[in-house]
Amino acid sequence: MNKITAALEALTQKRASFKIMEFCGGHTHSLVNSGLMSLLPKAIRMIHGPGCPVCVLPAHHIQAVIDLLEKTSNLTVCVYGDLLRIPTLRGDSLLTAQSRGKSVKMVYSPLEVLRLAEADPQKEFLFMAIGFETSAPATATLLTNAKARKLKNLSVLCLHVLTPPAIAGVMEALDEEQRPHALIAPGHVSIVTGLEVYREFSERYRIPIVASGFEGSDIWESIQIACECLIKKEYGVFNQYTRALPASGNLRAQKLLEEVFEVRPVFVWRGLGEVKNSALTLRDTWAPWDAERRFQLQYRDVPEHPGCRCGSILRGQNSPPDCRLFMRACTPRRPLGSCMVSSEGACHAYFLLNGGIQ
Amino acid sequence: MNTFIERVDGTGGRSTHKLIEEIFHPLLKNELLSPNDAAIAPWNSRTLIVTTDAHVVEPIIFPGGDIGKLAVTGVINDLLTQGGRPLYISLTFILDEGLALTHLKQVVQSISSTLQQNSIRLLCADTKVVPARGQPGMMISSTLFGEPFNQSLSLPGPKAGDKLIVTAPLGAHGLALLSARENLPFETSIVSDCQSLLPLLAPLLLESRSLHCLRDITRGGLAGILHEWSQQYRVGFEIDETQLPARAEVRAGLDLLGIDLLEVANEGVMLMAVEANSAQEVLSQLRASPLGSEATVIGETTLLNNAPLVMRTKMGGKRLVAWPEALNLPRIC
Repeated sequence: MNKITAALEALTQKRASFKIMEFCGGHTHSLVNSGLMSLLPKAIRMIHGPGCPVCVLPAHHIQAVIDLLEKTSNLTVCVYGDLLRIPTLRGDSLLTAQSRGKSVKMVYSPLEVLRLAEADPQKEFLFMAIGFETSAPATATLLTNAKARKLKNLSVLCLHVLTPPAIAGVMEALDEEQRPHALIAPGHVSIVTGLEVYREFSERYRIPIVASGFEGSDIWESIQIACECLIKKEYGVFNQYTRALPASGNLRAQKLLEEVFEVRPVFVWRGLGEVKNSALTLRDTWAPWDAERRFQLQYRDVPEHPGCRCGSILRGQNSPPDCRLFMRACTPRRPLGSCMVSSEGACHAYFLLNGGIQ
Repeated sequence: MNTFIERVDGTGGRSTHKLIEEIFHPLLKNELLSPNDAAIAPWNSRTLIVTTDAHVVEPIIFPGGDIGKLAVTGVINDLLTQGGRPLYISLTFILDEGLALTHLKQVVQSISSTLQQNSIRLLCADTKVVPARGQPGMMISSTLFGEPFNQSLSLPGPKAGDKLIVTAPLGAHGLALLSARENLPFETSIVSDCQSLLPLLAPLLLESRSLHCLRDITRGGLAGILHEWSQQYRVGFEIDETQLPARAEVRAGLDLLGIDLLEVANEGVMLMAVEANSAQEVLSQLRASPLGSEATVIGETTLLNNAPLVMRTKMGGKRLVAWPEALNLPRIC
């Protein structure tokens, strides 16, 4: 038997079942890609959480930006690659808008948007800022630079979301017996926020929370820490990712976020619905760079595909193969739900697990 | 199917395959049309080997090469996959209005020296100019003619038990182009592996009877090609993650961008299916050449069970590898 399986099997002699949620899509991706999923004993069940920024973003935001592109001729929309394929009304997406000749540019860093806007003052640049606490400081850096350079042709559509309210959101969406016994928390988010943000959830739900790195071996170790806690009936917040993650997080980044953003009273998540205080928006002092205020975006309802189970998959109630669209109508080439779009989405990860056999 | 062409249809993945099956094959297929990168046709009681390829790379000059070098080495490597010795070439240049003459001269200079190094003669050429569309560049279409190195060489396709060999580290070309196109500020200079594999493979193609199949690992990457082989020859493959050769900086760069090493295009790396008994001999022959000094056995051909392509991971687990479906879009974090 493989050494990893053997070590985990030994733990399952001491307790019958372990239900562990990895919150972050990066962890889901790594679980599958590293082969760790194939090594887990049956008694250890992983539930895939909502920590994939592309998966939880309702498509009406994308539709609003496509609509804006249709009526604003000198506008370039800059996005991270993953957003390009999110399906909107009638199978449209930013990628197909690009094929129709709309100006949509994929960027690797928000600071590229700064360069583009400086180089072409006649054009308008809108950056769609998505992601958890990990990517928010980079957006804040873009904004502080834009302000310092008095750039008037750049704005940010802030769709950043927050991890702690989403943890509460997912736990509250589940009945007590459906809830995970332990949580693996995202290491990269924690590098910004620090570990204390998890304390209240560990205590409220009496679960061990392990902040983990992203290599297969990191996740293996985190699963072991979680299992050992469950065997000993202990809970608390643990740091597996000590090589990169200081318990206090990144104080400079925290200060920057505080300066630029404030918390939205409510934000709609795919799968979780309205979650209070779960997203960021620009403070009033940054209003000139706020795309929502500059363009008065019009939101249209973008209904989910009636068969799509992304919602219950994001809550951890269902696994991708439970969805009848999975790998039949819904594939990475033609995703019907955004969990199939991003390589961090659970459906995309399971697609890889199954090798894309249809 | 969509009602218009999208970029993803040109990535060499499943979409390209579908486009060929649905649009081109119904009207153009004939008994000689080759499913491979080069075609073999009878010609006056001798054998003609032909290949054709269009090059649309952006930027046209990149670290490690340019579109001119690529337009020649690309077809050479394709011809080699069918055991062809390159002889004559035909070239078509489609130039954008606004293209700098210095750039054009540089490209033509590379074509000239690459042709010379590989003893290929240009027979005919054509030039067209098209109206400006953004950054001025150019496209080159090249057709290469050749004859078999060895009349008795047959390449029957991979068979269960065959070893898989790649001749050089993976990923350098794809990452070099991406970083040049997107101005990615990597601190090491990653250079394309764009090169003619003629000197490396000529001796093997002259002698070896143990070569069962060859493919230049370009568009679609290793994963795409193994899936195509699986479909064409009804076999499966199992590869070993720990054996995949790639430079540390290439691996790190791709990882950072969330791009899979198995899906990246290369321009000077050959994949070979070789009879298991002769694999070591072929490997040492390859390693004796500077172009093949890092050749590696990465896995083997299996029977086609459920999965076309399985990878043994570093952790000792297994996962299936999908046929690349979509554009190489970087992950967000």
